[in-house]
Amino acid sequence: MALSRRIAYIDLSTGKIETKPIPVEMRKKFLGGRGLDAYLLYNHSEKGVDPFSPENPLIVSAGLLVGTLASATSRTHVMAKSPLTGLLGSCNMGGFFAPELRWAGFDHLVIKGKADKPVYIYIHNGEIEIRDAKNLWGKSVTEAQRAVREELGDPDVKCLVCGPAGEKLVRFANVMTGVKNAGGRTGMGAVMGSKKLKLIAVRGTMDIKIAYPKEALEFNKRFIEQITTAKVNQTMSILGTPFIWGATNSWGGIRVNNFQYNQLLYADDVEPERFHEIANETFGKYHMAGCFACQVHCRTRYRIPDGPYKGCYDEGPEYTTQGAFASEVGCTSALTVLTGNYLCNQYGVDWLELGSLIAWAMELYEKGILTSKDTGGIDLRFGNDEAVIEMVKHVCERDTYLGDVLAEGGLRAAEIIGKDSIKYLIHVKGMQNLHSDERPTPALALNVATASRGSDHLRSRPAIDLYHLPEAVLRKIYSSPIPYEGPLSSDFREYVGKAWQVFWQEQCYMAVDSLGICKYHTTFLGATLPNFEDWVKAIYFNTGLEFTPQELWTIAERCNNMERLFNLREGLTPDDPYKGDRLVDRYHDEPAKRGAPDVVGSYIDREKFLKMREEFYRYHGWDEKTGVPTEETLKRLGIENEPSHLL
Amino acid sequence: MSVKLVVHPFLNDGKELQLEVNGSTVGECLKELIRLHPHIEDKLFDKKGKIRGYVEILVNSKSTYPEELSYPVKDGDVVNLIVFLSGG
Repeated sequence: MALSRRIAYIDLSTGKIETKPIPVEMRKKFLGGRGLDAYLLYNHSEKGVDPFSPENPLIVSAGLLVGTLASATSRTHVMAKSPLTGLLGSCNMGGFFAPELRWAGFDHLVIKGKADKPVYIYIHNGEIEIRDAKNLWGKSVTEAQRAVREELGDPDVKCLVCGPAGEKLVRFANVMTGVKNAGGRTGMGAVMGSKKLKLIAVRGTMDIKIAYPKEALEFNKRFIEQITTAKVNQTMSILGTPFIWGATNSWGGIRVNNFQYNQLLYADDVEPERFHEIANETFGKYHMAGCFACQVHCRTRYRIPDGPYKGCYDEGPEYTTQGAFASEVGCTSALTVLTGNYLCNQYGVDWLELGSLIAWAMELYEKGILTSKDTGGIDLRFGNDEAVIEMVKHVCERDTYLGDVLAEGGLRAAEIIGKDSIKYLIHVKGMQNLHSDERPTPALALNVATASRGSDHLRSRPAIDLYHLPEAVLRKIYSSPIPYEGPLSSDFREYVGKAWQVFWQEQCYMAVDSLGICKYHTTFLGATLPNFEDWVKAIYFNTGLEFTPQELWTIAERCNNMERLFNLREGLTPDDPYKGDRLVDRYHDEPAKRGAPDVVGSYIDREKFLKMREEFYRYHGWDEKTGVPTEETLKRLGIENEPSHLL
Repeated sequence: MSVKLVVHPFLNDGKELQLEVNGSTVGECLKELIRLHPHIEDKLFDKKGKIRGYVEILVNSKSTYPEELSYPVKDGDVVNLIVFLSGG
């Protein structure tokens, strides 16, 4: 059965391993993946736990539909308290690890303790071993995976790994699988490193029994039809996520020079078509690859065309890499983007966070807050390609003063640097913002301000708000499965109706993160892609669990509230400058300078933003002012007695 | 035949454009759009004359992909040109 997979509790301090079945009742409440992880984190951690202490649980999981007959179900989720933000740490990644974990018999791993020497965990067909990793420690992301496959004598082993950045406790280190499938944001790779856990290797050949296989396959045809006929996916399957970058930049929606500007000029060399061209030249015509069970294939394969890393194989870049190593740092070279991408993948570090931090340091250098003494002689001016690549290495190696300081993340670095440096840090909850400029788009601004893991585009972003969709299309999407008769506007500059869209997307993304479905197969980027009504059918045919779309929505709400409870317990208050649901002053006080007429001059109005936030809290059933779930809300969702320690 | 065209602000220098055009296919309607507003052409079509990857055309709120230019329209239809602008 798809529900027969177990949970394993692994204590790296004692070596004790315990496994248990996951009660169906828990599935009905939290599904799996991110949703059940949120329950486990809240129940297995104490208030105020140090993220690098043995008591911080590292939770690894597969979504409920992963490895079944449903499409696009590749997603692995990892959760712990974040060493970057001190709040919820959470990341979600594609690739092939999660299906293999399920085929090896497990859905959730709760890893506690700390090994006294480097180890890796090997999971194979119901068995779990803790093994010596002295030969893996220090190896890059791809070298470590290659070495463990050789050691185990099995080329089909799939790995979850922390790179050298995680070993060195860079607070925004990723967990990685494959070459570039990254569990980015919030530093889950650093939590792995703190436990001296280099890698988790899995291999499984245990069948997953599908509840209604014939119907599941038949239904999945509809999924595939929806996915493959959506134009947004067709474009992505040619250009990858960079396809978004070109139009958005020419509109004026891309942060430049640490958010001082909003359009990168002379950007021909970093346009999506240029990366497509390089991939064609260095890898060949068929350079797009996909994750498990995916029909989109958004991952570009290429070799670095020039420079010191010429010929090195890599995958990407993504929209966020273009921001990190082009616009944010004021560079216009494809080679810098590709080299930065490669180094981040090998070190296992979040390029979005790192690029934004380098951009921040560049502005501090520009303003004289950092000097060449602080930078170790590096001329850290915007547009200096070599300086950017040097800083990537120094942060990941922590081998210079500034590299070591930035490796601590923005808030800690600002405290060390002092001198008003915090004023220029573009963050929410201590996590650097995506390089999109949300000033022209109040909905997206609310999304980044309130996302549960800090500034983020993958937790509640109504990206389709920018498409200028007819109101009838918006109405169809946003008034189901929960009726909504309030205002909706095709105008992305509006504040009215946007809180509902953000609230809706939040439930949508939680549902798919708990099922293990990729967001590119949802209304994240496509208005015609599968939805709650489709997912309940996929759940039923594959697992036998029966939900209405409304019930699935309520589960998502429950899981989002578990994350909220965790964040509130760890100190979130709405207006806290470091842990709040708020934006930094630049969003409100410095209007956009470049771009199209509907962008120039745009800023987020403080009063309207707060009104929108109150509305967003209200939809949740949270107190409008404090953002705390009311007793009534917790009772409605059946989580009034958490932590309940049922699993 | 009269068809209403609603053009994303991105394609028209930051301003939404609504106009009535004539044509029996999307392609014919767009030809008239370009005749009236030639500055839109570059953002709408690539060098090979294909609709750009970041533009999707809806007729009465339904996607016309993959037919796009050959998709038939009739009197009273509403054609939306949407753009995958994003931050995702």
